[in-house]
Amino acid sequence: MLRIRKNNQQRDDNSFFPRWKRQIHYAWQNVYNDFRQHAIASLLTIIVIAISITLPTIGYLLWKNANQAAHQWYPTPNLTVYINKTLNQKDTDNLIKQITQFPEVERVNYLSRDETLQEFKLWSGFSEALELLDENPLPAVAIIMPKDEAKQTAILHAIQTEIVKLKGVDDVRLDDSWFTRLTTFTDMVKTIVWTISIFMMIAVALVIGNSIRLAIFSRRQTIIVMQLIGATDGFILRPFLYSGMFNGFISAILALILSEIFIFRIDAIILNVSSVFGTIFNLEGLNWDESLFIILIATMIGWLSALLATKKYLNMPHIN
Amino acid sequence: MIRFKRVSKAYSGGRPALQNIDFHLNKGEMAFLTGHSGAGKSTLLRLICGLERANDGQVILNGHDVSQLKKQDIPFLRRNIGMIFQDHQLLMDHTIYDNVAIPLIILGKPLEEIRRRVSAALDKVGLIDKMKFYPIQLSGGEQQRVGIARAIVNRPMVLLADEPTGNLDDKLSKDILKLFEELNQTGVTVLMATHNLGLIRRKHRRILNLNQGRLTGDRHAED
Repeated sequence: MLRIRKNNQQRDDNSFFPRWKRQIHYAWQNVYNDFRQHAIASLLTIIVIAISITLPTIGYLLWKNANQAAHQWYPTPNLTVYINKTLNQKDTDNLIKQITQFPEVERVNYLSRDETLQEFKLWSGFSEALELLDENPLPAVAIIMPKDEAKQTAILHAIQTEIVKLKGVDDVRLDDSWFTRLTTFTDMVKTIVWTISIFMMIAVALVIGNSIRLAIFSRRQTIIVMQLIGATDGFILRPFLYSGMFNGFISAILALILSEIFIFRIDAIILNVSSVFGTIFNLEGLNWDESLFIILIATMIGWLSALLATKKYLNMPHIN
Repeated sequence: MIRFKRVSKAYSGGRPALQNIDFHLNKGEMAFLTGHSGAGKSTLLRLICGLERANDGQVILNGHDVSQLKKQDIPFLRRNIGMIFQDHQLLMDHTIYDNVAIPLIILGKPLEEIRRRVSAALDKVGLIDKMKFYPIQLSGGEQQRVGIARAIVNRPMVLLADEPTGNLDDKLSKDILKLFEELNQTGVTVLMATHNLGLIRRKHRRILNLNQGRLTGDRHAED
């Protein structure tokens, strides 16, 4: 039994997979040794990268929470349809049915003329004044609740113009001033966050690329010797690529921790502020998907910038 | 094993380094390459291991035309060649053991095999007890022997040595030369460049003499 295993082992010695595994192990060992030898410099690099990742992450969190607050605090915009007073019951029913059939409409709240009168009396406090009139001055109204995906200024305006054209409709009012302002505001925050993110990604790529370039430069002699004794470019590249990936990965994790600390600190303040305003608002941190995404992106940027830096170096004629 | 067919090499700038070189070194042969500094000895060796490309002619190593090899195939060519340099080309931040182990690490050999073969190579050059030292702690002759151990650890077919005794005194040079002869007896083809004629005078070996880039003498061992 033992003998068979030993034979197998010997046969495996130079086959592709174990060889590959050993070379990868060697490369990681190289990364580890390098990190240990230049611990301070490596840590500084990682902190710089981590901060570069933290800033857009915090920006993203602010946008996400602002967006959430917008939906939580402000009532959804709805359209009020004023129906012509001369319309009879049957035509009104038809009209309501017609409006309900719009694909963007979630549901329609119909209030007859009597109901609007009741409501007006209840809310306005002018009930006595209304008694003086011969006739009910209020029209029947239909309040349209748009579907979630239709809650955009442009779509709401489109529905408004469509419904105004219907027979028996006097007017359609859209109260969206708050909604428009809020949407523009969150859109602006989104644009700013995107711009910052792109700049910061470039910064991360440059920092990693630069640290790899320095590492290559300090290991120039080693690389030349490796090439002289028959190392392939891939073999020489591997430790640098791994070190780029490692830098990206560790920095992303550090950035996540920093953002969580930020959220934790700011949450108490927000809670304080919101309780003064009479509501409760909790900041939401990053969820698993978002954290994973940030880690993946950072690792990929690390790998890519290391690849660019090393490829460029290896393509230069430098063996003398 | 090594065959040059009308090989010429000029460096950029026009200075011809080698002109019309023609010779054939058989498998298992040992030869010296002599000539003044700048005669083209180093260039000739660099052509064999693909560090330079010939402008004209063919350099054939073990049936492969080196000057026609693709860039990505050159590392595999070098794995069959043991190169020894005048300035050793050791990794100063690695131990002697690590230095000798590098060719085997590149090949992805298992740790056990690396340990066995590195020990064997270091034993052969008499440095088995300095395994844990760093190159800086060794003398020039010892560093050169580390270079030799690294060159032979992968059992190459060809050993190329560029002035291996350049910085060593006579006693150490003789030791190194003796080491090469021992290796040659195990079947390795050896080509050693040297300007130290006194060292090789009494050796009945083939001598290729270069003068200003031309092969001016090819004295065979029988002569």
